[in-house]
Amino acid sequence: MKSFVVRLLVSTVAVTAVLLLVMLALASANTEFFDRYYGWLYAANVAVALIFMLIVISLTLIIVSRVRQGRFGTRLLAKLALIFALVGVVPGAIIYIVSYQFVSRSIESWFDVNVETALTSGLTLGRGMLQTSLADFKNRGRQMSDQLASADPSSLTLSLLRLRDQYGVQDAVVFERPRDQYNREDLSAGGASQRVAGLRTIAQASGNYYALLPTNEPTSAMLKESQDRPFGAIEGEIDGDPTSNGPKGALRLRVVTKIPDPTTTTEFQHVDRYLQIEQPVSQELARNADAVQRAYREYQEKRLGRTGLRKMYIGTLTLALFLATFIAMMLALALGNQLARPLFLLAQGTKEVAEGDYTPKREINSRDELGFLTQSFNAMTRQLSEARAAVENNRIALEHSKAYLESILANLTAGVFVFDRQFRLTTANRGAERIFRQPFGGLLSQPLDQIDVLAEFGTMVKKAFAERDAAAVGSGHPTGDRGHWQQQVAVSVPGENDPLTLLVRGTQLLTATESDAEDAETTGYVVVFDDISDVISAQRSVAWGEVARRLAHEIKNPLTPIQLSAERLQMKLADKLGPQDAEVLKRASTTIVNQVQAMKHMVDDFREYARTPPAVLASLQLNDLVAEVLTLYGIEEGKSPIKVDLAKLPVIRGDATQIRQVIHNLLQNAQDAVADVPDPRVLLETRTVEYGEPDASGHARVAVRLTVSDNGAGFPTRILSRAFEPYVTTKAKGTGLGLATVKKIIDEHGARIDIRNRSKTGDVVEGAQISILFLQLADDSTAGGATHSPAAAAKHGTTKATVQTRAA
Amino acid sequence: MTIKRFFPLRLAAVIWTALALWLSFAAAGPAYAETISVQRASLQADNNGWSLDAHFDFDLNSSLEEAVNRSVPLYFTIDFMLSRPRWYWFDEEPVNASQSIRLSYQPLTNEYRVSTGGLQLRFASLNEALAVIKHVTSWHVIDRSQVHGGETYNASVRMQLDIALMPKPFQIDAVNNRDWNLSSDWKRFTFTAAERAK
Repeated sequence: MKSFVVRLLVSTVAVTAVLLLVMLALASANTEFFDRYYGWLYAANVAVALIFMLIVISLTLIIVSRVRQGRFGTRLLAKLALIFALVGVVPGAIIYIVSYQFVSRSIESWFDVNVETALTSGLTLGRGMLQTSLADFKNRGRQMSDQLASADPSSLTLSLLRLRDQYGVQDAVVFERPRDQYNREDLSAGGASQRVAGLRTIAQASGNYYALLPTNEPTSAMLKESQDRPFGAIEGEIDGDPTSNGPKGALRLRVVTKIPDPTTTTEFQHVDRYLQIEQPVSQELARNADAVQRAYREYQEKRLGRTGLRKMYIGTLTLALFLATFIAMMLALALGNQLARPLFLLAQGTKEVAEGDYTPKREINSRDELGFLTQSFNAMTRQLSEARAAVENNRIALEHSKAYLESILANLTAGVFVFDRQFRLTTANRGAERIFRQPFGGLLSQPLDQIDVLAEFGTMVKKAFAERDAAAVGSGHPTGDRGHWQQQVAVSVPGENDPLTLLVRGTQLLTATESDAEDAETTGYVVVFDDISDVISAQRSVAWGEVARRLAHEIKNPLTPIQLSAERLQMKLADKLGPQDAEVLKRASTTIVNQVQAMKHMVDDFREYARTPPAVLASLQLNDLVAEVLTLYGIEEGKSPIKVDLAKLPVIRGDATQIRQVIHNLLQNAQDAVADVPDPRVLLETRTVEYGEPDASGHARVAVRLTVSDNGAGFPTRILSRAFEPYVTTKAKGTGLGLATVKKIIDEHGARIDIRNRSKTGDVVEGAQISILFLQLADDSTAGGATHSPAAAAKHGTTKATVQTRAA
Repeated sequence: MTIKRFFPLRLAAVIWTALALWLSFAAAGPAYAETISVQRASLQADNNGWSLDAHFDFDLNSSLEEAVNRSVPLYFTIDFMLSRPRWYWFDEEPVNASQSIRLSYQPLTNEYRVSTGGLQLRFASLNEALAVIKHVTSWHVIDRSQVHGGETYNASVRMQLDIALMPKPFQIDAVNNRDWNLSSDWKRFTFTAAERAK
């Protein structure tokens, strides 16, 4: 909008200026219009030139200020404008200087003394000629008047005609005028143009027959002058058009003489008579005189006006120079802008690209190199943008994969340590922190020796790597293929009573690529370790099961003969002994039978643990089962400390007999635990639990939880981790098989069992809690049995697998 | 900062502007040298209205006299203006007349000519011719129909050397040459139109 206004303004001014200049140039043609308004035209041109100058100055100022401000691209624009302006102005200035000199010199050279002298002389010559003919004419007038004076007044006209022909005069008129009119004449201003009072034409002789009345009567001044001697004048327009005023306009001689009073009579004493004769100057003389005078006048005009003339020419030249300069500068600015614009765009684009803006820039649709340049620039930007996008995508992909790997590392159950060549810790994953129960974030880049927790672990690891190295050197293995080592080590960890059993594998971190495995360099060490205490525990329990089975088998065999023998002894000898001895016998045999019976029972327990019959899964309602078991504990009487909280449960899959035993065992344990507590409480809860991610239909998977909690003394820490191992017990009289059996049954069902101490604040133990999570539901196994059972089997399988690993 | 830096440039711009204004005014109105004085100006009733009698006084300076004697014609213009102020609008200008008098010298016949309109007078000397020019008599300027009887008007008269009628070089020269500027101020006097001509 602004630029449009500016353009409109500038173009208007420019057009006006050109128009004015053209008019000024045309003004040299002598037309009346330009004569009349020349001053205004000149002033207007001067004003326009000044306006131009102001515009150019302001533009220059704007550019200068922008350059000083360091506005982007102005320097280039200024340079271009300067160059173009120079190209426009310098030739103009040269032409101007030359023209200026030329004009001022040549105008002076027009005015030559010789020319002026010649013109003046010509003028004098013409004047002399005219004066001579006038004097001659005066003579003729006097002679005519003398003769008329003596002529007969009655035939005055005839005499006049004759004299006219005789003296070769064109017009001759005789006027008479009363003498008494003299004193009344008013010769004051304006009187010259008025008729002289009383003047009367009395005779007339004219060569011009159409002019019957004399149109030019002599004025009183003429009459007065002609009193003593003839009055003569040259009349008519010398300059100007001689025909414009009719016959009066032509150059002519006029002589007025007073006709002397006749000496013979006194009749005419009261009037004066005057003769006026007129004669046009000869055509040739008139023309020449006119030409000379005209030339003289024009010469003088030019001579006097030469200052003005020079001013005029120089002014016109200067104006033309101004205009040219202005137009050159405008063009320079416009062209500079035009040329610089693509460069600006490019530079702007470069700046934007440098700042990371890859959007396509505006192109110049010209077919020259600049347009090509902008297009190429856009193409380049596009490619750059694509390349950058590709790099970005790669980076994101890399980041994703790195994050993926890191999350894998972090979520790995095994602990991972990475050391550099000097055995400084560089990476420790969450698994390691969990196993060592200590964060390693602050210990990174510490040497292994200085980490307290890892002291003995580190010694072992270093030793293992050294041994491996030694072995590798000895065996002549290539440097890059030293394989890994594996060791089992017991590490004591703060907060744990028993040392953890760790399975540690170590390998060297090599920068090896496939091609130069020979030169592979060790950049660090990777140590992976796993807490296999559970596996050891499982191994132990399996071993115990085997021992128990064999022991039970071995013990049970002699028990029946022992019992039978004792009964036979009593039966056979009871009648043969005295009552007193019989009584002893009876007591001893009874003792033996009872003890054997007890021993049998115990052996059965062992055998049961060692060889639990496989679970026969059927649909069952846990709540019913709980209620059935609870009847044995006399809940209804209210004496029991057991409280029950049953929620509505889905039907699960399970072996009713075995689960009944589980509940029984747990309740028994809880009751035992609260036996010495003043306010015993045992709580049995069943709950439905949702777990895992909702599936497509929005239903989360559902499990059933059975929780038994008490407010007894809780489990000692020592026991807590090994509670499910056989023969671990807190009771003085327990076999330690209760929880082990429970664990076995629960494993058979693919369920999970958790044991913990309830604590309200800090380390104050409020009691124990055991919760069992049944994951197998009836509807799952019927509908999605195919999917779920394998999962359960797999879970089961893992346990088995660990056991098998141990066995191997 | 910026102002200080550009102060000299601003000064230059101001000077340029002032120069431009001065030049344009000088070109537009060359008449500010009071070299013609108006001695007397009055309106006389004539048959059909009023005519102007005025007496101007001036001397031709040497440049002008030389110009005349070198047969360059001079033009004198007499302007007469009659106006009546109106409170509700611009001033009423019933009469706005001007008359040009041409003064020329014919070297061939050695006489001075004063011509106005179609009338032409010859004089043997410059002073006689100038005397005629200086006296304006019975110039009929106001028609009776142009004015309202009984009203009072402001009449203004001036005389000036009319450069615009002269050849172009003189016009250019006159732009900044004091010799060529010959004019009077407006002579103002009140005029009351009588109800009836005497």
